[in-house]
Amino acid sequence: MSGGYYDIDAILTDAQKIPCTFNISVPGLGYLESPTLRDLSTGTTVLLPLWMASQIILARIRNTTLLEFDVPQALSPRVINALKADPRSVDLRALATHFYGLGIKTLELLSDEEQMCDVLANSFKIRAREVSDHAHNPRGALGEGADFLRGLDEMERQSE
Amino acid sequence: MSLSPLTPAEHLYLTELLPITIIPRVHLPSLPLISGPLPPLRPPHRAHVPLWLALLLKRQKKANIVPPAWLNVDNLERLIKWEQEHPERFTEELPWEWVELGEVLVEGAEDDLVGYAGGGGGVGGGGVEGDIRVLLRTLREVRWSKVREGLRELDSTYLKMNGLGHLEISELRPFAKAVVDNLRHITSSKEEARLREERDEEEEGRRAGRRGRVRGEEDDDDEF
Repeated sequence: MSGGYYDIDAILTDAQKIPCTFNISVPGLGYLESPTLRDLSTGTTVLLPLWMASQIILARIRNTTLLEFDVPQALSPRVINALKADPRSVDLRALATHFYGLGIKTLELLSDEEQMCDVLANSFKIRAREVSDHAHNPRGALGEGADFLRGLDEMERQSE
Repeated sequence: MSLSPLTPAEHLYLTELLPITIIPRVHLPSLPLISGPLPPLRPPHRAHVPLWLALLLKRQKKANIVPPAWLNVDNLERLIKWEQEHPERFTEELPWEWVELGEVLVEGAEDDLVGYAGGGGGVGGGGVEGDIRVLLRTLREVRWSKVREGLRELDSTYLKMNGLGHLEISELRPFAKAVVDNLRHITSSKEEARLREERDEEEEGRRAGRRGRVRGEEDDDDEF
């Protein structure tokens, strides 16, 4: 992710959604939860895109933030444990196309997630080696390892 | 945005500019080349010419190429053994362009390599040529497997590439760069937290130091 205004991967990364719980009730935004509701009440959890959530968190009313973040489904403890056990067996693409991007952004928003950071970095490293093996020794798009290659996140695909 | 490594074709081009020793079979007057005048060729005296010219003369059967000292069966076998015995290092004996040189010479002047390697008048040399090809391949594989092991050790700081050839580095670089870059991105939040902590500690330390000094001065006063 080299940044840049038109970097399509950065845009797609920011478009991924993160669960947010509202600390206040918002009039007129009920349609986010269900089409029939008028107001969004306190304590509702909705999925917001990262770019929106990271801006709203900056705003404060009477010293409380409007939102609380939750860990996205793709980074749930179940996934992190699976990555810890064997990074190669997890289909990251099914979880999120820009899995690591989502991870990086989430880590920026949530503090005290050092373990998650280590697990992600370690997984990336181990999977990168596997990717390099496949790049130097292709066994055909449908040969062995096709499952692994299909499960690569966008960042890993672009590495080689 | 960033410089991409050289393509194999560019590697080949650069390699062909290197000088190599030939034994000419024809007389040739001095040639005014851009890189400097070429000394006249007088068989059977050896001459140093750029590799591209050597290959050209070789193709026209007007010269024999003297392979570089490292490119023979015995030496390659020795190097392969050395590489296998030293899993942490790469030999410094190979020239920078060894992959390209080996490839080009095996391709364009295999019969010269046979005579050189066999040393026995080139009798039954067919197998020996095959051997050099296989040995070069093996050497490359052995070294590459070590690079792979190195990738396991890769972290967001550095990767040691001492002794690797030019082409090998070009193969490795874009990948290693992408991996290190991304690793840095992933660990950036942790890094930031660490920096913040350090700054806080420093601040704390400075404050404590100031307090200590003040107390020290008071002690001095007491003594007087």
